[in-house]
Amino acid sequence: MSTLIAWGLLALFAAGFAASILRDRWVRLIGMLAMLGAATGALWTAIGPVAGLWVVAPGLATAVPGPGPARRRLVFDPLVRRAAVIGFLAAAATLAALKFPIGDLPRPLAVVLWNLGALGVSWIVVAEDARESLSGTVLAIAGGAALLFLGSGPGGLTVLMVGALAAVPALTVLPVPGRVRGQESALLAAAGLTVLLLLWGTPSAAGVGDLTFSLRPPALLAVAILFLSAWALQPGARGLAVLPAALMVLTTSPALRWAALAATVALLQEPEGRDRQLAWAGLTLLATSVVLGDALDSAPRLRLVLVGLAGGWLLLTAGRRTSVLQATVATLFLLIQTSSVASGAAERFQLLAVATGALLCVLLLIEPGDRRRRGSAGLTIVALATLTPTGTLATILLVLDTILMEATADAGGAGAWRHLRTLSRSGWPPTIAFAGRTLAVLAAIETSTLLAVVSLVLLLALLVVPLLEPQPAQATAPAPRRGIVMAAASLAIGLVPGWLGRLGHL
Amino acid sequence: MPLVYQALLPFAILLGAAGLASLPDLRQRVGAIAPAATGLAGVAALVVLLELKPSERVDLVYLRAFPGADLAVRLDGLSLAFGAVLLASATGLMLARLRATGDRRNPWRRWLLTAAAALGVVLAGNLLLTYIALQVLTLAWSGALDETAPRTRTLRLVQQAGDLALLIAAGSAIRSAGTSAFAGMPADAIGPLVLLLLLVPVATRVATVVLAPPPPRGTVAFVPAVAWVAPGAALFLRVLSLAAGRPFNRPVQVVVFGAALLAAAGLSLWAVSAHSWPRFAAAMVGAQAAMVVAIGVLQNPLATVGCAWLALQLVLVAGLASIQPSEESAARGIATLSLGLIPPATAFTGVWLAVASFSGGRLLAVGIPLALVAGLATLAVGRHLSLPRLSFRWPDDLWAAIILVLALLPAPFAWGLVLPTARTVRSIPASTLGIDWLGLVAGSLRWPTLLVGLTALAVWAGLARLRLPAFSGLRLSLALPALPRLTRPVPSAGISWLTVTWVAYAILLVIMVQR
Repeated sequence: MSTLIAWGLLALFAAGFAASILRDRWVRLIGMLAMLGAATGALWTAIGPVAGLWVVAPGLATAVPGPGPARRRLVFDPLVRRAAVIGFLAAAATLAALKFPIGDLPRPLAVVLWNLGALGVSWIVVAEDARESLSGTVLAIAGGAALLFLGSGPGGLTVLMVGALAAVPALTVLPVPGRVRGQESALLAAAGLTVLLLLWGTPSAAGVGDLTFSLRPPALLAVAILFLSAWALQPGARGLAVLPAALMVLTTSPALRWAALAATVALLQEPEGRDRQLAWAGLTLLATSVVLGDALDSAPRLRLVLVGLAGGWLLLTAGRRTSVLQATVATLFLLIQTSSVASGAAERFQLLAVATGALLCVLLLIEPGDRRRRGSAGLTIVALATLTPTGTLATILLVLDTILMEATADAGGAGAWRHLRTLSRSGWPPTIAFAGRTLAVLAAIETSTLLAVVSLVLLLALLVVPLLEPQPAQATAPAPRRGIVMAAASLAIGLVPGWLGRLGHL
Repeated sequence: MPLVYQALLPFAILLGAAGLASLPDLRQRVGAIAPAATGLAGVAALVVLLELKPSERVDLVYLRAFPGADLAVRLDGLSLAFGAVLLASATGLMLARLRATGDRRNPWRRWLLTAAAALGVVLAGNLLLTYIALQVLTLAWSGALDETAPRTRTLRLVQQAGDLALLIAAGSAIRSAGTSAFAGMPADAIGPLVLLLLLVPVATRVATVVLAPPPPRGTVAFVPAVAWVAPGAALFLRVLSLAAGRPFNRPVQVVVFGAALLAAAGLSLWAVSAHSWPRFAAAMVGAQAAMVVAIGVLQNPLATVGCAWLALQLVLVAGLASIQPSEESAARGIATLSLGLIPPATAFTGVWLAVASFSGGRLLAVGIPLALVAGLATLAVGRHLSLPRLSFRWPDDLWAAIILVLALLPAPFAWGLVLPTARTVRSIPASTLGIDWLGLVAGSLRWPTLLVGLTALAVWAGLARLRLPAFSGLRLSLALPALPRLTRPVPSAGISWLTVTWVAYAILLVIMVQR
C-alpha cells in the first residue's frame, strides 16, 4: 500500500512538473500546487502529520499571486539553455535521491523532495519571467528545508516557521516603499536593546513550543551587528531581510537556520545579475552537502559538510556586487556552523580556508572590483578557520569594517569630518580594519603555518590594494550623521577591540 | 609623583603641545612651545631613568585593550635612554627649524605627534604594541591619512611591509610563551629564524634613511633621526635583549656580521662618491647603523656596550646631520667628522669597545674587517670635510660641540645612558668596563679619549687646511627605485585566468571531499 502511495505521489509530482514547465497560466499554477501536494505527502511519510503545516505558507505564496502572465515564445538559444538546466538539475537530483537514501524514506518520495528543490533552483537560474523566478525561490527554499527535515523529527512550530520562511520571498512583490517609515529608529532601537541585553545578561536559551533559541552572548552580539548593519546600510525595503537573518542566528534548528539564511538571501537579491546565481549556487551547495552527508559514514560526511560550508560561503560572498548585508549574514552563518566543528575536523577546515583565502587573493589581484572587500573576506575565513577566540573576534571586526566601508562610501563632508572619514576608511591604527587584520594574522600564526602564510600574503595584498583601486572623486555633500557615527565607532572599537570580545564573551 | 603617572608624563606633554598646535590662535606661536615641550618631555624621561636602580625593569599595564597586547609601558635603561636621546634630538631639530629660513610650512603638530609616536615605539611593553606603535609612527611622519597619497608612498609601503616581521614575532611569542610582553618572556620564546626576521624592520629603516630623497637646501629634516634611526636602533637592541644578548648561533652570527659589514663598506664607498653633503650624510648614517648591527651580533658584554654606545650616539649624529649645517660652519665640520668611524668621531668609541673584547685570532678576524670599513669611511669623510670658519651659529654649533664633548669626555654619556642600555640587553659584569673622566678601560687596555680626540682633531684640521685633493674616482649611482604606476587601473586579465582559478578551486574541493 505504501509503495503504491509512493509511486502515486511520484506520478502526481511528475505530472505537476511537466505541467508547470510546459504550460502557462492556470495549468502552470495547478502543476505547481500539485508538486507541493506531492511533496507534502512525501514529507508526511517521513515526519508525520506536521508536514501539513509545512505546505501552508508555500501554497499560499504560490496560489495568491495568481496564474501570472502568458508564456513567451522562446527563441532557440534560451530554450535549449532552459531545457538543459532543468534537465541537468532534475537528473542530478534524481541521481542523488537514488544513490544516497536518507533514513527509511522510500526512493520515489526522496525523488519528489529532491526534485522540488532542484526545479526551484533551475527556475531561479533560467527564469522565464518574474513570476517563475518568484515561484522558483519559494520552491527551492521549501524543498531544501524539507530535505533537511528528513534527518530530524521537527515539531509543528518549527515546520510551520520553515514553511513561512519559504514564503518570505513572495513579500518582495508587495508594494513596499523604498524606505519604511520609522524603519531607521526601529533598527537602531533593536540594536541598542540587544546591546543592553548583552550588558545585563540573559538566560542562555529560550523557547516557544518546540522552537528553541540561543541567547548566549555571541549570538546576541551577532544580532546586534545585523541590526546595526541594516541601520547603517539603509537597504530600504530589503532591510526586512534582517528579521530572518536574526532568526538564523538565534535558532538552534539546522533546517530552520538554513531556511532563514535562504530567505534572507532571497530578499537581498537584485532581480537580475550573475551574483544572484552565485548566491543560489552557494545556498544549494550548503544544503546539498548536509543532506548528502546524512547518507554517508561519519568521515566522508564530515568532509562533505566542511567543503559545502567553505564553498557555499565563498559563493555567497565573492560576487562583485554582492550586498554587504548578504556577506555579513553568510559569515555569521559560517561562524555559527563552525563553532561546533570537532577538533579532529579543524585541520581539514583550515586547509579549505587556506585554499579559499588563496583564491580570494588571486581574485583580488587579477579582477578589478572591490578588492579591499575580497582581501578582508580572505582574512575573515582564515581568522574563522583558526577556531580560536582571537580569530572569532577578528572575524567580527572584519565584518564590521566591511559594513563601515559601505556605510561611508558615498559620504561627503569637509574639514575635520573629512579627516575622520579618511582615517576610518584606511588601514591605519586605530581603525577597526587594522585591529581586525592584525588579530586575524595573529590568530593564524598561533594556529598553523599555512594559515599564517596565507594571512600574511593577504595582509600584504591589502597594503597594496589602495594603489590598485582608482580613487572616486571627493564628495562635497554635507556629511551624513550616520557616516559620522560609523566612522567614530570604527575608531573607538579599533582602539579597544578587546572590549568587544569581552562584551560578546568571545 | 607615582611612577605610573610619571611614565605617561612625556606623552602627555607632547600630545598636549600637539593639541595646542592645532588651535588656530596659537598656530603662529607654537614654534616656541614645541621645542620647550619636547625638551621637557625628554627631561621627564631622563628623570625616570635616573630614579631606576641599575638593571631595574618596571612594566606598567594601563589597559587590556588588544588581545595579546596590553597597553603597557616598559621602563628600563634601554627604553628610557633612547627616549631621552630621541627627544633631545627632536628638541634640537625643532630649535634648528626655528632658525631655518627656507621653509614656510607649519610642521609643529606633525613633528610633535611623530616624536610622541617614536617615544611610543621605544617605550612599548610588548612586541605587538611595538608593531602597532610603528604603524602609528609611519602614519605620523608621513601624515598620509589617505593611503593612496602619492607622497612618500614607496617609503611608507616598504616600512609597513617590513614591520610585518614584528607581527610574526609577536604571534610566535604568543604561540610559544602565551604572551608577547617583554616581561616574563623566556629567552627562547622566539626562535632564531624569527629573531633574524626581526632585523627586517631595522633594515627597512636603514634603507629608508639612505634612499629617501634629500631635503631641500636650507630646510630641517625631522623624520630621519627621530622616526627612523632612533626607533630602528632601539628596536635592534630590544631584539638583542629578548635573547639575552645572544640571539644567534655561530654560523648565523658570522653571516649577519659579514652582511652588516659589507653593507657598511658599500655605503661608505657610496658616500665617497656622493655629489652632495646630504647624500654623504645619509650614506654614512646608514653605514654607522650597519656597524651597530655588526657589533651587536658579536654577543659579548663589551661588544654589547659598544653597540649601545654606537646606537645612542647615532641618534644624535643623525639629528645633527638632518639640520644640514651651513657650509664651512663648525657644525658642518664636526658633523662630517662624527659621521666617520675614526677619532674624533664618537662612533669610534663603540668600535674600540667591540675590538677590545677580543684577543688573538678572533681579534684579527673581527678587527681587520672593522678596520677596512673604518678606512673606507675615513676616505668618505676626507672627501667631504671642509675647514670651518670661526663663527657661532645657534643651535647647530652647540649641538656639534655637545657631540664633540661626548667623544672627548665619554664618562657622563657612558654612565648615564650607555651602561643602563647595555645592562638591559644582557648582564654586564662590573669588571667589564672602567670609566673615568679621561677615558675608558677595558681589561688591560686603556683608551685615553680626551688625548686621542684632541690629537685627531688637530690632525684633521691640518689636513683640511692643506685641502687634500678630493676623492673623485669612484662614482656610484644609487637611486630610490620608483614603484610601477599602480594607480593606473590594471587591465583585466581576461576570462581565462578567472576561469582557471575557479576551476582549480572546484577541483580542490572535489579532492577534499574524496580524500
